[in-house]
Amino acid sequence: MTLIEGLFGLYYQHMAKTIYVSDVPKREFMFMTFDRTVRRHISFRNLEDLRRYLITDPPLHAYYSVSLYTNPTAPMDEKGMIRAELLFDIDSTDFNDEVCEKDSLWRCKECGNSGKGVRPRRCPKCGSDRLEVNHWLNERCIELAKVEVRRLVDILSSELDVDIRKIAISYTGNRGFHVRVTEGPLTTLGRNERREICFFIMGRDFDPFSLIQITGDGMAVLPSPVGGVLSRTIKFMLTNLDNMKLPKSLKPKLKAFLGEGKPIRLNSRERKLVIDKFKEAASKTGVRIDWMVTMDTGRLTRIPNSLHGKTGFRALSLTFDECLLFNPFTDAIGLPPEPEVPVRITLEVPKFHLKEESFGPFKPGEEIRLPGYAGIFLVLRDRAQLLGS
Amino acid sequence: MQDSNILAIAPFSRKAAEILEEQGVTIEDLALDPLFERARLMAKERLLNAIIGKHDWIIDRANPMNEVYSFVAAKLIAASVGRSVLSRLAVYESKRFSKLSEDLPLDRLKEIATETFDLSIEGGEVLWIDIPGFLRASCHIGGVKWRLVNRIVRKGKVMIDKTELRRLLAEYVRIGVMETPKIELPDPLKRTAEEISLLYKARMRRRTKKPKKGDFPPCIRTLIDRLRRGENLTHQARFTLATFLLKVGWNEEQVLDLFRNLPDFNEKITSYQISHIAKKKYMPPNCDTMRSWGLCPEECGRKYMLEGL
Repeated sequence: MTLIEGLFGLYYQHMAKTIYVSDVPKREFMFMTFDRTVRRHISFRNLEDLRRYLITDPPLHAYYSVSLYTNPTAPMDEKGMIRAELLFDIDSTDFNDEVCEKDSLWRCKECGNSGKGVRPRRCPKCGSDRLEVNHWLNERCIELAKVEVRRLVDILSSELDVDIRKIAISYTGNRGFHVRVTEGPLTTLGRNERREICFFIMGRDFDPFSLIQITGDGMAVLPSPVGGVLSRTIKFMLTNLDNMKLPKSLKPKLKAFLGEGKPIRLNSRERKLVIDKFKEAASKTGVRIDWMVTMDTGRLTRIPNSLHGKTGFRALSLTFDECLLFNPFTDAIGLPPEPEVPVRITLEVPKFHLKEESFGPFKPGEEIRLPGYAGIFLVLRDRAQLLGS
Repeated sequence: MQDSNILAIAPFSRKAAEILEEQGVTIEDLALDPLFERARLMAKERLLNAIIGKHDWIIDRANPMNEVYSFVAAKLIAASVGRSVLSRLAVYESKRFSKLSEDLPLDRLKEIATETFDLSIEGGEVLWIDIPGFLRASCHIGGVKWRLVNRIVRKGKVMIDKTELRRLLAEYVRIGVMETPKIELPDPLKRTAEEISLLYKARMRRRTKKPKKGDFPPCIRTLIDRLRRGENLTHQARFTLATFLLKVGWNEEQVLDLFRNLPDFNEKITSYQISHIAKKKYMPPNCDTMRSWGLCPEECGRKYMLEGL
């Protein structure tokens, strides 16, 4: 057993009681072992058996199915889905934010060219799109993801009427959060219905013309009472009207249209402009979620409070208020400081903070001793190698 | 509106099912009892109309229960023949309800919605339907106005009007028929099933060549698979398939043959539409449009449908 595996095991020995998954016998479990083997279609009779498994055979990654099945160990098409949690994945990797990505490293698999920051679409040297990225995570990534969690929970509870007690939030252990609707009518929906829910939440493919009518008096929003993406969009546009790139003459007209529902007359150029602004605003007021994840009812997702194999952080379950104050770099450290580990840096490491202690920056080739959680964090992120102690 | 008429218009309703149960009518009765001779004939008529795409919206007002018996018999026969025929019947029944319910008062529609399909409908002039109830039907209906993102939504309810409620119910009728279980049929009904199966195959035999899916994008592959299973496709889905296949070199006859699987296939209309698309050289929709139509099954990495073809 390697040092890291031993420390993961130690974590589960002490923290197994915090591992909780509802309806254990009806779920499929999947584990990735430390030699990168994937074990699928596993089921447990009860929560105790699951906890015991984690202690005796600590995995690098631990997942469970969002679906409940009549036969969880059967092949995929014979499992017999009963219902599935509605899972939303908020991952700052999807945001392409410059500050969040400032220490991420990309490398072209074709020509070996490399760089730092947001991954370019194509290699600037050879034009290939085969780029690999070693992401870094910092406070900014987490803050951005939190904003999305807050907006998502707001839409779920106020527009989709999901009981707030049935919304579970957890840190992924890496660069984002998982938000789950655990019970209620939405958990009985199929793939296509889930995609519709996602696009609604994202404001994606919003077509203002389906709610705006051309009347004798001009263009008018129909009908009141209003709710949904259109009302979100109108609110956003009203607040941001002054900063919008629109002809000056158009702004007062638009204000009356948006604020008081007055019909407006627009020429075709103006109309196109306004419609484009509507679409832009709709996606800005939407939440940045990965819709492919939500749509997939056969999805396996990280077990809350298990350890993430790319950070050693705990995938902590959080209440809404805890989530707002949450800082993974102090609150989610899952591994102990002892023993100190000797590592050799393989890729540039920026300055980072864990448990209010700061480390780095380190250059490739440097050999250092770090507290267990910090050294292993770098090893799991593929930026350092463990040296034989 | 008399209660008996509603049974004829909505033979799928819970009320109809309750009456059947009260009367203790079994599948053997439907198959063998001379009392149900007329119902058996009507069942066959339903199936024939469904297969040849004939719209016959006359109802048996004298004995509306015959509509119920024949509806049940027809769907059991269709299920035993196979999914393609069942799909045709499902579309036929859906359109039939849509047409016959035009004059139904709102209260009656709401009754069907809540009692038969367990939907929650509130309001009068403006109606509010529960989101899951809306989505289960709307995601099979084409057009941007059926996308949830383009609806007024408040506190877990979607705003609809009476016409939209009727359209949703019609979709529920289609889904309901599709869920008919396949059971062993007693002899006379089995024979009808065989006849229907032969007739259906004879109509399908006119297909010339099996289309090749090759390296088509997943959206097109999905549509072709759905079509092969005899599922109904929206107008947008049909347009997409036709424009795409013509662009990759299929001729009009090959496209027409593929469309023969449609549950409401009408040779005259389809061949006119395909020729029109070919003549105008319409391009297949772009990926954003496909997403907004709900026809994009996965992110495949292509920037447009014809990429690499």
